Amino acid sequence: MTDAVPEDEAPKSMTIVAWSGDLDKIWPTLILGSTGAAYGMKTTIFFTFWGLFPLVRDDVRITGTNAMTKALAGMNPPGVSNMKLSKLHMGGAGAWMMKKLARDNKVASPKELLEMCTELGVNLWPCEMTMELMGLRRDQLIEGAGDPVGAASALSEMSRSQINLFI
Amino acid sequence: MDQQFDATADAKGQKCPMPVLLASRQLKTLRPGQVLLVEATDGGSKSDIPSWAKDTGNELLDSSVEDGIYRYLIRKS
Repeated sequence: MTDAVPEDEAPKSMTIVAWSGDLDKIWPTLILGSTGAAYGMKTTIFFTFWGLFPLVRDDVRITGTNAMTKALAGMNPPGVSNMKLSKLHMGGAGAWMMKKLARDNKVASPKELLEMCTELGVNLWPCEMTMELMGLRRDQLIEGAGDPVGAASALSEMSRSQINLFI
Repeated sequence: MDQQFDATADAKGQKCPMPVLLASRQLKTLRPGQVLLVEATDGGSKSDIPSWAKDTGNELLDSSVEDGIYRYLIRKS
């Protein structure tokens, strides 16, 4: 589709490094990622550290096999529908109000946007190192997630992208 | 707007970025030369849909607004 546009006019590729699992960061990440794909850009999101949690299935409660990974997952449930606000989360009330406002105003939820990302062909790359750190298995990630990769693969993709974001 | 179209992307009631996402998804099902009608109520679509059409190399044939519904006709290139 982008073939009709001269090379210097339209970006061809976008890479977003999603390092944060905060709702207020992952939401715009998913908006820009899905829109990038809609724009015909080759779009990749590299999910690393706390940013990997939104790529975990909503129904996964316990991750890993040791006490610390289990405790961390218990305190901070993974899954895109369980993300918290970085400010004024207020024990969930803040995030709940934000999602209610979004729903009332027909703003797509992070979960819907993640599904659009999958549907529109966004590369969703889980960070291999974070998976091992948190004891996450492939089958605990959402269906659209790609093969786990390392920092070098992310950088390689970024070196070929006209738009690079770290959110 | 009395031009013919081959498919419709109904984004009425939905906010940014859904009109562009739904338009993109629907356009993929069309063949080159076919025309897509995008309907939206989000005011952001006024700038988003034309720039999306231009940057993806497709042609915005017409845009109009009536009773708060924006309509865009895009020919797939």
